[in-house]
Amino acid sequence: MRVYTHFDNIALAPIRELVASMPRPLNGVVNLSSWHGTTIAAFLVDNGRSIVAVSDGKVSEGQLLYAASLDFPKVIEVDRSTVMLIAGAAGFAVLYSKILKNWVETMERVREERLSARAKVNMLSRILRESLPLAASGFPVVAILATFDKRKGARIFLFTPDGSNVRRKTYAILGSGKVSEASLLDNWRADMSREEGIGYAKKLIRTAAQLDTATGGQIFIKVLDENGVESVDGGRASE
Amino acid sequence: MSEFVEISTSTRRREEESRRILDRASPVIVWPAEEGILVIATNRDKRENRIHSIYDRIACVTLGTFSGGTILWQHAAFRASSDGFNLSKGDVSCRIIIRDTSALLSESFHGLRKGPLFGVEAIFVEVDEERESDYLAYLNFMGFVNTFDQARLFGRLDPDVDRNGDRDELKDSAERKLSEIWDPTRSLSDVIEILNREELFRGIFTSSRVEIVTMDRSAVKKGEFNRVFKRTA
Repeated sequence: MRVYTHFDNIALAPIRELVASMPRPLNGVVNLSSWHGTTIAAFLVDNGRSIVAVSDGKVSEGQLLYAASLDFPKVIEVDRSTVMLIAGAAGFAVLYSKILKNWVETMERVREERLSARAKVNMLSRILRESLPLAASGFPVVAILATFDKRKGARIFLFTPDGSNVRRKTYAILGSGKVSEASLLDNWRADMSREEGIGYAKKLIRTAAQLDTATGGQIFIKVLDENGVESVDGGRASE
Repeated sequence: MSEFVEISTSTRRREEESRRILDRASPVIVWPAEEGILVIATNRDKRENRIHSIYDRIACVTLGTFSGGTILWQHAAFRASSDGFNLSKGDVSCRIIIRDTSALLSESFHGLRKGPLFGVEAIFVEVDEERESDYLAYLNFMGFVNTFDQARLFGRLDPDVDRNGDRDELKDSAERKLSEIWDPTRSLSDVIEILNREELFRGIFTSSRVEIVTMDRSAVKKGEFNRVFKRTA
């Protein structure tokens, strides 16, 4: 069925158009380290039954890291069992999350059954791989995918700008706020309760904001478990 | 050996063949109301659905062959998805989607080699914030679009009876009954009960599989698009 098999190409078309229309001098000449990011983290709580996903709300602009926005949510609900956390070039990251969300929604509608977490992980890998020339030109995006699968339970996947992914059995932290990983390493416990996890997520972002200039603003937290995704304090767990 | 067949003869043959297929289509009831839209359909296959969500506010039921129906509704779903991505969820319009679907049906009827969509019809329903703005359309096997705004019955109440192309009296009386009892102010749960009590429609509810879908208007008003399409049976 042509329309069915070609839908992936349709879904990825916006990225391919961007890559094709990219000016040649840009291709691969911008130093990736010139981009500062943010802090996104996800960790298992409740003995691996739930995931707490957290991000800051700061989007910075230019080399001096002016705050373009302080309440930009980087924890995005893809569907009722998947949360995507984004860091890097904000505009592209939002586009990728929108592509993934639309793809999942369409596939589940047409197949009339739920997609596995692995299918979503593989699609996000493809999206990032397709956009590798954009990443090499100075618009890298990194992501964390927190998923809940009926068969496999709560799982966390970490993505690099080239689309590689790795499953993390404990926690994942990305962005320039990764400097606060030591705090996570010291304080994270698998038997943390959900409330402890939420409290700790706020503390983690506060620590990152102290250590990293590109982190700050509102704190966004979502909790994922077998019942779906819940936004803490309506999606904004401000201090 | 090749045979010369006039276009009019060939068209008539195809029309007869399509009607023969559609004469065995299982029944579908569409009931627009203030609360939302109710769609009831029976299904020969217990594993497959016949009422499909094309997009949050749009549902589709097909009549005729299963393969053709599947291609038709999935095509519409992909088209809706592209519109939803490029525009927004609220901008996906049934009117635009069925323009493509209608062209597909027309091509399959008039083009000799467009086999899979042959002998298929579709009903599209789109629920809006107000009942007056709902869009209900019936696409026949040639791609013609007929809109309607009252409760209607499609397919046959006794699809396995061979009618030899004659008009079905049972269907006529069922359609009359449906227009008599149709009242848009009734709640959808009441409607299901009323139809269940009616002698003419009881067969639908006692068939091997009955599908019931409600399209909730209050969810559209709240902008909760993912809660509009509800499969209750």
